[in-house]
Amino acid sequence: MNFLDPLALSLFALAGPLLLLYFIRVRRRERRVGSLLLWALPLRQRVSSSFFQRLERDPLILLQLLILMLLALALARPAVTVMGEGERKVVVILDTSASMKARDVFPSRFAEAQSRAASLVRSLRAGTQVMVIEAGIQPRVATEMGRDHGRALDAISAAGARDLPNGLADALRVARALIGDDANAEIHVFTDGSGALPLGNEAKSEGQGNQQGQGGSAQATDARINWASVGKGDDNVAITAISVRRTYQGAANYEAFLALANFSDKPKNFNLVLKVEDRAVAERKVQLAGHVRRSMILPFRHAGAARIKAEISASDDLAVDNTAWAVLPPPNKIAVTLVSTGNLFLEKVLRADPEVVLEVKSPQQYAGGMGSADVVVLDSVTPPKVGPGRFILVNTVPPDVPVDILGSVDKPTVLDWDRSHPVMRNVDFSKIAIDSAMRLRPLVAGRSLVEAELGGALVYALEESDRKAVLLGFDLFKADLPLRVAFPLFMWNSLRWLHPGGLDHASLQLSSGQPVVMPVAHGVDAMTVSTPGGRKLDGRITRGLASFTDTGEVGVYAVATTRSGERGSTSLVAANLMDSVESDIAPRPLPQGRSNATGSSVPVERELWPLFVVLALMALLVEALLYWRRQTGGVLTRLPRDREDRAALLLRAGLIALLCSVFARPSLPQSLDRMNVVFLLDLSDSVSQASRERALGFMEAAVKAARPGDQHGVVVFGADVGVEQPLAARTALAVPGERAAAINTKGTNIYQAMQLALAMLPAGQANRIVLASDGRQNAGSAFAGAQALKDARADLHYVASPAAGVQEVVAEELILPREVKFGEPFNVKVVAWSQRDTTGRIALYRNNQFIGSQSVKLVPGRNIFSYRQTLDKEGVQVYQASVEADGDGIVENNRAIGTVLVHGRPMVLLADKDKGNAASFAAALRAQQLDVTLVEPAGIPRDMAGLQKYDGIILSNVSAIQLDRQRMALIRDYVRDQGGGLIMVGGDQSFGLGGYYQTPIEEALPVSMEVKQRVDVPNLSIVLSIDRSDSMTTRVNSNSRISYLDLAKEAAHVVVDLLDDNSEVGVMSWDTEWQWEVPMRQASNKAAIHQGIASIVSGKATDGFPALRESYNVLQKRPAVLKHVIFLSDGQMRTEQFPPLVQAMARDQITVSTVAVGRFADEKLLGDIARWGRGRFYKTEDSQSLPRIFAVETQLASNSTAVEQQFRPKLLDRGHEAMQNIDWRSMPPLNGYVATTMKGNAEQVLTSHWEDPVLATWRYGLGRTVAFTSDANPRWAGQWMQWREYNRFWAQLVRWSLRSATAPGTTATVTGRDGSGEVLVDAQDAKGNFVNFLDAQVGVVSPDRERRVIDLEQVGPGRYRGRFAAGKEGVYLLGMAQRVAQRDLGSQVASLVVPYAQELRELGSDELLLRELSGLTGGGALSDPAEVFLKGRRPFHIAQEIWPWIVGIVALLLILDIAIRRFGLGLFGWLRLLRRRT
Amino acid sequence: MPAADLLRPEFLSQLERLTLRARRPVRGWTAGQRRSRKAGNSIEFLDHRPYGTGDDLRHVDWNIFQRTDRLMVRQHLDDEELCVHLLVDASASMSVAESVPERATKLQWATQLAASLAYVGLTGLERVGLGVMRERVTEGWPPSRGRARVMPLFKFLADVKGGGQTQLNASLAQYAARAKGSGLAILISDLLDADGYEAGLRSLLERGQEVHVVHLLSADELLPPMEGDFRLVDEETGEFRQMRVDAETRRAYADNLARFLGNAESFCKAQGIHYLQAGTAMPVEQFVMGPLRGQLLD
Repeated sequence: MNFLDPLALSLFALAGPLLLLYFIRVRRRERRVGSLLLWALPLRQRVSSSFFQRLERDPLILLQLLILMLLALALARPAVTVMGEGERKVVVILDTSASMKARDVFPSRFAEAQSRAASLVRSLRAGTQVMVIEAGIQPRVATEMGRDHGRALDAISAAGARDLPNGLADALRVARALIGDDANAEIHVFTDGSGALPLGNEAKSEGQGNQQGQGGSAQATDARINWASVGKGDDNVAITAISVRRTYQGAANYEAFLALANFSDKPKNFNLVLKVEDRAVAERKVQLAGHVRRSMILPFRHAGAARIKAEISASDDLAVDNTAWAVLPPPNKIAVTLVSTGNLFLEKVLRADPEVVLEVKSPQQYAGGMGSADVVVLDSVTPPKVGPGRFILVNTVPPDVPVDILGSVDKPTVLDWDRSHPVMRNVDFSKIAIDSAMRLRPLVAGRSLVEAELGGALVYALEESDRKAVLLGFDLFKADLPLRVAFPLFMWNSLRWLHPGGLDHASLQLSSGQPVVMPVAHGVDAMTVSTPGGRKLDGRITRGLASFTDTGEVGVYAVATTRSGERGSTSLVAANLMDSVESDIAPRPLPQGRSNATGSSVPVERELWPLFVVLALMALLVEALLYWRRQTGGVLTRLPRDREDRAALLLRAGLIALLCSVFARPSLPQSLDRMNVVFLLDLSDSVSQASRERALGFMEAAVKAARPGDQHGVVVFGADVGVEQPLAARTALAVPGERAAAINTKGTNIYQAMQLALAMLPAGQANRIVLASDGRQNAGSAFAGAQALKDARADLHYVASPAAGVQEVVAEELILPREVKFGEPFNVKVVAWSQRDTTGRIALYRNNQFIGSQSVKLVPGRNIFSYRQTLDKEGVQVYQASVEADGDGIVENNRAIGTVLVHGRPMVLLADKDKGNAASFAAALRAQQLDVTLVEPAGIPRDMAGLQKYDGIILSNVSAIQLDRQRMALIRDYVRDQGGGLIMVGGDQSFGLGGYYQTPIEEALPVSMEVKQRVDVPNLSIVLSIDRSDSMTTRVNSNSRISYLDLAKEAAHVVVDLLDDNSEVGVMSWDTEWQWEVPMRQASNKAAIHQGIASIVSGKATDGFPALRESYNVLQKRPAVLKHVIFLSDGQMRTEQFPPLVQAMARDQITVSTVAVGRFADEKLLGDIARWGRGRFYKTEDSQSLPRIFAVETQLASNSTAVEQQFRPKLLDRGHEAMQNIDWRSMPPLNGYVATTMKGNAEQVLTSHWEDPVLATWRYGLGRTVAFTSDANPRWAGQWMQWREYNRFWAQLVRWSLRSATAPGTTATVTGRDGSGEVLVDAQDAKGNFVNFLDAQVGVVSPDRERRVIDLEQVGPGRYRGRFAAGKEGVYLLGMAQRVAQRDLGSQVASLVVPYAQELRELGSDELLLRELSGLTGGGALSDPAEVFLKGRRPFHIAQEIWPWIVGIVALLLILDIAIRRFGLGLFGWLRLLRRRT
Repeated sequence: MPAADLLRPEFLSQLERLTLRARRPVRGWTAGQRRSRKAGNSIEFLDHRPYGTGDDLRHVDWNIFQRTDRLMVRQHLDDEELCVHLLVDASASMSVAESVPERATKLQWATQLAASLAYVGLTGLERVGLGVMRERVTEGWPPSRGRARVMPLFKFLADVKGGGQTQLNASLAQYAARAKGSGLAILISDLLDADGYEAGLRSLLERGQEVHVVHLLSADELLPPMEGDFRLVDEETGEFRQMRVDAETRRAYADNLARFLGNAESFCKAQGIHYLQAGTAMPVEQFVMGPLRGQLLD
């Protein structure tokens, strides 16, 4: 036996006072006796004189000395060395997930697990160390590793199951990290085996070569893990998903999606009730056969802001998943002040947002600040000061916003944009053209949302403590952003990011255990969370983020925010179990662990103090009883007579009780000023040796500066994590050794490191975590870790340890468009980062085939190299780039990978007036991998379905007359609503000449058909000669009230409108006689002319000759260069008079065009007249085409539209996407074009010598349209057709205009994280209705060509989700198809790139992340090592065991006890005692 | 103590069947014991009493039975009368409180015993007299006869208070001188008198009394309960003696006690005095029905 605290033996010195008590003459108690007679003799026998004789002999004194000795021994903590399992360590992990609440075993699985864990702990031999971990969302170490089995048992019985999904993987990892590779350790997992188990099955199927997978299988195959299974039943029915989405179709405005599942074998019948605010809106009887899942959609109406509860009445073993909650967010009104000198784009977009209350101010009215607005939008207005608040700054940087403007950048090209930022959700910046932008240099934290290749940030999200702003660094008028779909989305997102009215839809619906993380509006400074259970808790707001992590309870949480004392908004958040894996409570087979592992027998100190306390207790009791018996004359049923005896016995009883209390392990709060610091040392490859050394040096210096008693521990991490030094008080830091060597350095997982540190730190103390890392995480979410730290009140500080290599070149990224059209050229951008000036070589590979390489010069920082590529293969194409540079340190990071999705050959409909003529054009396009369907104008489909087949339509020299108005409207809608492309190619039947004036197609085109006359274009005299005979009054058709005459008049109106002021016009009508309705006059006073036209009335028979002769007579005398007659008739006339007249007119340069109206017109005669008169003949029975004929005629006649001169077009917009890589210097001249006028926002790409548009493009609705006013025929483009760039020019132009191939409605996004990928498919039909109950599957091909098929699970109305393991570097290809009842709905191809050497991809430290993480927990950057332990110390209380104090006090009081016995209670007695001694 | 509480009624009815035994003929009897005179053969009618089982049917008064339908026994005065002298030591030492508070003090015990004997005597139609001993015989009860005397006597006994020093020799001599008629003299005392008791007893014998001594010691005196340091105070004299009570002391005390008891017994035997030891640990009733029967009572 040895003593752990031998000093305490000195307590035995109390024997001195005890003996002294017996030396001192005792105060004698009086006892009356009948007579002293009988007492006389003995007294005489006694003589007390010598010193030792004064020590009166009393048997009890021995007992008392024994008690003292026992107490002293107990205090000295005697321990015997027994042979125990000292090396054995047992970790008990209790699964606290929701399925553990199942009641299939009595009373519940968790209780069963508890009792089994407790019996395990009880069965352990002495000396075995035990640790208890509760596996929640964050593993919680309930008791640290220790030999005290009692505490472990307490912890086990104190644990409870919660409504959480299974978190065993994390708990196991933490447990394994805490025990290290100690072979004598064992982990006992008490679980029901349901839920996601870290058994490593998935990792196995993934095979080798994958770090995470290996980690997972190492975890699974760790023989130290023993699985103990509780639970046996599978009787559970669950709501596995609930989701409410707003719909804009049909009678209901909300659709609730519910997924139900029966996990048992038996069929189940139950009722499903959907309640909105306790009012049932839907009730269904549901019958589910065994192992059947069913989804249902329940539509309902509501005005918003409500709690929704779905309940099933099934009686099963697990109750928690029988209810599910959802919430409808309240309408969020945002008060926006727009300060602008007038910007219709902004105003329109803001007004279109139903939640925005807009106030427009002029710059004079705004002097900074927020006023009553939630968000202030400044458009090119720079007030002297804006102050704190929430802003959208367009093309302006107010002086107090910490962003520098360093000049401007011309025509910046968008390099990439931050797709993860909420402002950029669903926003596509890929094809935005910007004329010029400010060169921004932000001075504080924020995120660059859109980056240009040169010039840095174009859009910047600024985050300061009291100010949030979105900064657009360019003028909206100098960019096409306002015309793109991206713009309203961007504004919508920005407003909600700046003024969060609560949560977005996804955050309203949490899985239990997920933290509520809510950005708050300006000024919000406090929040209170009401839990479903009715508790009220305070959440913390740091950096504009309110967060709350304790969501381990299913139900609706109300988050109420306070704005400087006033009540702000209340947001509701629903937390549900919604984990079908967790709800499936059927126990799964668990691997058999090593049974009954025992550690070697080693000497173990076994503390014996409780034994001594027990003995002392017994001695105390016995002594008291003896004394009692003595004082009552052997009767224990009575109290002794004397007051002092009673008092002494009472005190003794108190002492015994006090000593008994030792076994309850009493403790007292003890204030401690101690800092517990866990250093997280990033060992990943991205942190250079030098900066690691620096971090170590920092840590060493910090430990040296620690106060005595301060504890520190070291966790090393990379892709995995290990405990280098457990938390303990040491005076010096040890150099990382074995553990550090075993760390997988090919990744950075800050989250796991945080989790482990949190497990090491004792709860409730002054805990600090110091992260020495570059912050380049590539697995796990450090943010979630920081949330957990914040909840645990531990603060995180960081020491940035950036890479500091000598020379390093990284192929950072390979930027590719997500999808391109077949044959469409695109740029492969290789982003190479270099530390120094160097030269290198970039090699590009496509699908593992070498394409080419190039020598490049690299400058410090980012270098971007762009390579143009065109693909003629459908599907996902994988590009790889490698960068090799001189003196490069690390080679793993020199490869980048990217994919591009190539859609199939685009289908193009080419319509030409003359099929034969167009053949060569079609051939040119086909040569460029376009699938061309050549049709005559009549062959253009008449319905949308027909058009939908094509990605674009080319109208090459097609006259509007050949298209009826419905078809033109159809084509317009096809472009506007379906995103189709439209190209109009010129010719004598196109544009103005084709009669497109005031047609739907003109609406869609970037040019208008009106032509401004130039001075030198000869002016025109035109006569409209209209048949007003009786027959003209016949109705166009039987159910119309319009006559041919009306149409003719209408046509005349159009003609007049088309004429410019220099022209002359005369309108005559005739029957057998002619009459000038409008005598020949200048077209300037159009009102008078219109009046004249209107006055035409019908006459008698038909004889056109006199009228034509009169026209001739009048025109002959006019000075105009161009003279033209439009002659309209519907009847038969004598023919013989006409030829000489018309020939005479032709001689006099008067042209005649004829229009035959109706069925009875003399087509032959009219045709002849037109031929003789060098005009054109039209025949129409179609009422609608008549005005267009007139228009064409007018334009033709005016000769204003067709310019038949040779010219060389001028390229205005070199940056136009469709015009790239064309050798313009070799461009041959064109021979003519159709004059048109540019529309305001269209882009003029090519222009003629007259500065008329030759090539113009713009975006119309969802589609794009192109106007090429010259032709694709030998007539005007004869030399062009010989041009070697001709085919490419057309192909690029056509491709540019084509619509993107994904069918509208169904979108699939693939995201990857932590070794798994997630596919999210949103399905909507053409009308925008959600498509539900799809049979959706995804085929996944892994980088090593392994194929797998995963089913997508519906998670909401029209929303499907699937997950797959993606742990290998390379490209995962995904093919998706959706079917409803065997009918194919659509299919997509997508890919997920897992980059190579992720760890080394980005070098340099991510201070922003580090700052955000630490800021969240209230920490920050550390520069002075002394601060590590000394900054912000806060004393805390720990429970200190006080049994030694109690033992000591008992020993002291024992002396008092005996003193009372001997000297009584009264002060008098004591005084007398003193007096006697003096 | 109220007189009624002195003895339980049940005990009284038990007592009724007892008679005092006198060892010697008192007057004119030639031989043998004095018989019970329950069925007195004298002609002098004394009293009626209810019939009890065991009574001779010859003594039943049939006239009364005829009248009242109750069985009554006729009692006649006996020719030979016995005078019983009850001598109770009431000195302060007799009234020292016991360590067990509910236990009777010696004085209480003594009065109870005296009451029992007096009851037996009076119901046996004897003359009963009483003397309370302190320094002298301070109070007393002249010998008198008849049932009607019972309650007053009891009342008297109940009122006896302890106090005063013991002077057994003197008080016994005084009583002996005064006592009329010889008979039984029963002394109930702890005999703890520094001057002794022998002379007093002798003087009783000299007057022809048949002397009985009930040597009463309290339980505490027989086995001192205390242990430790005490200041023992003499109840009568106020003298004290400091001492430590331990096993050795107790042994010495026990020796003292044994010697004291032995002395008393051997003295009585030698003088022909009936000697009976009693302790307060045994209740009076038990003592009367036990050790006393056959010795003093039949």
